[in-house]
Amino acid sequence: MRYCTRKNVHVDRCASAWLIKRFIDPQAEFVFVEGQTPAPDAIPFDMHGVVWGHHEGQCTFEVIAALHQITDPAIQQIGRIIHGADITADADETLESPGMDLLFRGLRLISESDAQTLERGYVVMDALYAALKDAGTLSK
Amino acid sequence: MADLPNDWTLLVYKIPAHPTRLRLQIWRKLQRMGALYLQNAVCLLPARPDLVENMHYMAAAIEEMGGTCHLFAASALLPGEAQRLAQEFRALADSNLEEIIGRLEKIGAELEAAASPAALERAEEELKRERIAYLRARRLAYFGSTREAEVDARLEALKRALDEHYRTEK
Repeated sequence: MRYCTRKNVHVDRCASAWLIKRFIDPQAEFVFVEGQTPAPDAIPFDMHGVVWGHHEGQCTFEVIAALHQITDPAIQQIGRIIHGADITADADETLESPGMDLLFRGLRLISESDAQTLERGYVVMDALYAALKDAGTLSK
Repeated sequence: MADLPNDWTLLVYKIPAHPTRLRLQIWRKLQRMGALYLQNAVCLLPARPDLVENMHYMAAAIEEMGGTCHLFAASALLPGEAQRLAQEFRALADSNLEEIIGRLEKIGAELEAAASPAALERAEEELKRERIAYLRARRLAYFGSTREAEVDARLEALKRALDEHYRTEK
């Protein structure tokens, strides 16, 4: 299945793509569009007015995890981290959030394309997930 | 003076009058983003990509609560306007840091009078809170603040004073 999101991906779109790829659709392919008009034949995410987007104060990652009933506590915690990293007003959501925001800004700067930012972002997200899955790391 | 950036993201919105908490909720979120209000329900931020994105989120939230809004990419056209806006952002940041300076002064006075280990611990906790408040305020100081150096110096002095107290306690 194809999924689309806006160009110049940042933390919520990278994390959401990782969530889709690792937990929902391992064959997922991603395309990137200018503006807010979804590509045809692709499921849009983190775009204005779409189902897999920001709703009721939640970021796209949290919305996708909830829609797919992903209850893994590490994913819930990642949701809070991404929420704070993505939503400036809620930057204090977790201690990790401002760091993740900065890290993903840097990833975008050193990558040659959105596809490459996603690929590199997967490594970061895999590492974050592993750390949170590691016994005793997950904050209550 | 070097030219200041003159690319802004401007939000104009209208929120249903009832319940009143909706209006407050949006206002507080925009405050926490460091937005500058030009007038009631009209505010702006520098057009940094993450801030533009956050303005989109605000627009979606306003629409979800039954409000209406307009979101623009804007440039100020009046002479000197970009400088004035930057100055207003700086004044906003200054006022946030001045609040912190006031609280740091109070902690300093408490430290001087600290007569017990409990009072010392309380002052240390308060200092930690202010350090975090400062990091938050600085993150939202999009055009810097004239008071940063003063906060830095006061935080450093209080840290030294606290260390000194602990040394003499033992």
